[in-house]
Amino acid sequence: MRQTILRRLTRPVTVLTGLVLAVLGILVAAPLVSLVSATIPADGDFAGSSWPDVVTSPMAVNLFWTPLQNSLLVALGTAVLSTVLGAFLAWVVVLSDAPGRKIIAVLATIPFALPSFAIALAWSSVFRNGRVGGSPGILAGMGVEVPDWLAWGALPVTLALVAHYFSLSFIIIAAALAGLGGDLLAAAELTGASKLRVAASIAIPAVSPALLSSFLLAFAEGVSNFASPALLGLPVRFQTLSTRLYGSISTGNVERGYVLAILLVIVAAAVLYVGNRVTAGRSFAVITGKATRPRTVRLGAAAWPVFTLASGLVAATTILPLAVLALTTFSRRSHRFDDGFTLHYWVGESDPGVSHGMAGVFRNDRLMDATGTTIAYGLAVAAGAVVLGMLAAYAVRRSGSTAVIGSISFLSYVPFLIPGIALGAAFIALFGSASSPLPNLYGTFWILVLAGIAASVPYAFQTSKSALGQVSGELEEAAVVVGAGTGRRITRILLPLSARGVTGGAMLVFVTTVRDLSLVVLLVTPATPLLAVETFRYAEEGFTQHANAITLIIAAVSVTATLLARRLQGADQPWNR
Amino acid sequence: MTETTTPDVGRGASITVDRLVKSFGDQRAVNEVSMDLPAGALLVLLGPSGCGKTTTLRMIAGLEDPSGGRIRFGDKTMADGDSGAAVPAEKRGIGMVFQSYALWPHMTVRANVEWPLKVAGWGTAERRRRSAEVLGMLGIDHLAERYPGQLSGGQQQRVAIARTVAPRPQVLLFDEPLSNLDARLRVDTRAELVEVHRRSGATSVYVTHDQIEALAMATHIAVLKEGRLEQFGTPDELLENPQTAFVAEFLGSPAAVLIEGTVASGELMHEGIALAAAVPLPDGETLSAMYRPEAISLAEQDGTGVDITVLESTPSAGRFVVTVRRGAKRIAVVSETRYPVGARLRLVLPEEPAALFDAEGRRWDHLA
Repeated sequence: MRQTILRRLTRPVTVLTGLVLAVLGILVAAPLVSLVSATIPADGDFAGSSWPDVVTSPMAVNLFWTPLQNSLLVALGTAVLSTVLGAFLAWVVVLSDAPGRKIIAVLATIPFALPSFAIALAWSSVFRNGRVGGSPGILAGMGVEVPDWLAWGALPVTLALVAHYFSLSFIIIAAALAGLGGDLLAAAELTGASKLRVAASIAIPAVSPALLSSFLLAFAEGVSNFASPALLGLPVRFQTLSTRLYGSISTGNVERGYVLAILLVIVAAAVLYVGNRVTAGRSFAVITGKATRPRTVRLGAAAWPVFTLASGLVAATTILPLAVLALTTFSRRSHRFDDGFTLHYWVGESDPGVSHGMAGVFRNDRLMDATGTTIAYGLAVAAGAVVLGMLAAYAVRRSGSTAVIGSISFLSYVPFLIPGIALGAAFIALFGSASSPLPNLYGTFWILVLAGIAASVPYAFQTSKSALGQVSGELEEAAVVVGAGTGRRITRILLPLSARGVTGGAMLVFVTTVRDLSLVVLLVTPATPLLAVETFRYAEEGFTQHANAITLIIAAVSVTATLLARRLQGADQPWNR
Repeated sequence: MTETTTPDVGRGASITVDRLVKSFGDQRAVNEVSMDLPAGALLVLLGPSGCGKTTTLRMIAGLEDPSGGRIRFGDKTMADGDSGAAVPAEKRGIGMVFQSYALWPHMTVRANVEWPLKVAGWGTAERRRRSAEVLGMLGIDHLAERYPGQLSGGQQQRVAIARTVAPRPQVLLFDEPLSNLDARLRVDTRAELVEVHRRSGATSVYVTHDQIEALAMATHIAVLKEGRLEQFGTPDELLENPQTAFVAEFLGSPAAVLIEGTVASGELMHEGIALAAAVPLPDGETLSAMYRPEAISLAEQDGTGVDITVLESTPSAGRFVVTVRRGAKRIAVVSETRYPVGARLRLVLPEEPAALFDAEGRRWDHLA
């Protein structure tokens, strides 16, 4: 009896499962537990804790309720506009015969590959006014009076987020529309119903699960995004939950920050969880026969107006902001083009007369250091997340126990519900406080890597699961039959067959990691500089050209790697077929 | 099927297809296809995959525009590929059952059937009555409140048919509607489709690659191959009098047997056996002789005939369909007895073949 138990325990899959659960426990469960326990007073008396400060005290309005209101407002705006614009573009690309659809389709996927602060910085470069000092934006420089509501606060924060997330909505909705199949719409057109009626009665309801999930994703991202409100709201004290959380922790009110982090997690997780529940039962299974491309709607005279609108939209969120950022890095004085152009901010030696003597980005030791750290960080996270994701996916595939499958799947999903900045706070609570049982890693490279892996696990797990899912179980069973052991099956059968998908997944993890600001903004110290955080600091301190130049570098890396990764994953987009 | 429903006989339109062409790039998917289909007929477009049958159907439907040639319903031109003029699909009075069924996933069965009627401007009571009628006709009235995702493949198929016939179209189009069903269900549904066609009175066009389905259902068959029409006619005409070797070998279960011979001194010879006499062609020309499988018999090795090896014997209606191998070719004949696998036998051929085909596969008639 003892022997059989021992043999079972040492079976490779059992060992692997135990290992995966332990790692997920440390990376996902433990940080959340320490985050919560750090806010529970030792004597159990909540009156003296940070909870009443944040929720009920006289300063709670400023600390929590107004930021909550702002977060929800921004999120609602982001969700509505992203979904409407994404659906419009998806319709143009998949169902209409508007000219230039191919190029619109490519451009529409790019904003999501850009770092979310790129658009915010570009907005600021154009619309910034004199209200908070510093050099005014391009419009103000040309003598245009930019009103506060256009330069700062809810509207620009929301629009900067929309410019980023409509791209995600587009991807989701376009895939759903393309997946409907041409027959479904042809069947409706054959009844003689008008285009409008087919759209309203058939196409939109049939893709409603996609519309809803795009809405909820954009909402959750809107609640938790940090970069956009930090750059366009914070200077005028337009606070959201994430900027408040950042403010509390960076000014030493760590416990208050933790409480805000918990509340932020609750808001974001609730939205995403409800969304998943609502959409789960509603995905319409469509029986597919031959894949028929939808017949395109003939726009006739409306073709050019539709084209103008759609291409204007994608140009305004891709080419235009990148062009603005590029242009500003060459202008001698921030946002002014009448003082001439220079390459100083890219390659110039230190000059005491310019930017407090800061050298151009390619001559700047601190930035070169940050570049190296960023790349190492991205690679370590990509490798770690994919290995963990693969092992977790394999354990789920081979394990017969529903409890094991359930726990691994749940733990791998949870970080998806947690806003980056709150996850950062949780890692401080676990690895950065004296009361934690684990070693203090705050200020080291490794806390960044661990947090990065934790944040990337949901994506890495899903990618690995679907990549492994491409390999039929029978292929592996055939290897079992001829006597191949677990290690051999993984390395000789599963990995070679799923390599493309997994490599593509690793590249996307790399991209999302290096361009992300919210996760690392609380974890970075001068010893471990990262490009995204350097950009943020430069922007805060008014070194526009430097901030914009680094953003362009990150954007170039992001977009290139994203396109490459899509290629690798064989994603000829469903709407291009 | 209830008998209370009123058949809508006589609503069909005749369909004329005149030198129809569809090109994709420089490839001709449909090449100069012509046929005349009387009102109320059930035409099966038959052929291997890629032969252009679905493209032809979609052009009749108006889902694709022809690159050349004309389609007429009755005396009304529906599409003219030469001038580019086309009546839009929804104005042609057609109903179409798609291979994927194309049921709207967010609507109940009843709503799927009623929505086209609503679009056509029917009143609520009338819609309700008609949907009850067609759902009853197909025996799925108890599923009216379900969603398509909750139905089996066979049930979804019936919903698709109900939805298509409800508005009483003049022309019914079916794009391989049975290909997603299992073998048993396919046979049952086939019979129901013929009944639906008969009751509706609509002229129907049906696409399939299954020749048994075609022979069972059709009043007319058009056999297509690589975009060209091989032969158009009634099932009997095609079986009795195939115009090409392809049609001869494609239709029938088992299909006709073709044996190739070479002309020598006015006789068609195959390895020393005379297949046909009085062939006025120069020596060395090759022709294929066609025999009906029931006219061929199998004999032990020592007789005269063509050497063959038995591959399998399948019982069929008290007799056996014996598949044999002749060189690289498989031939099926009908036999009274079962032969063991691997048995070496001879094919005993009748005096004269039923037809001859030339080297290009065209019918060769020495009287002509």
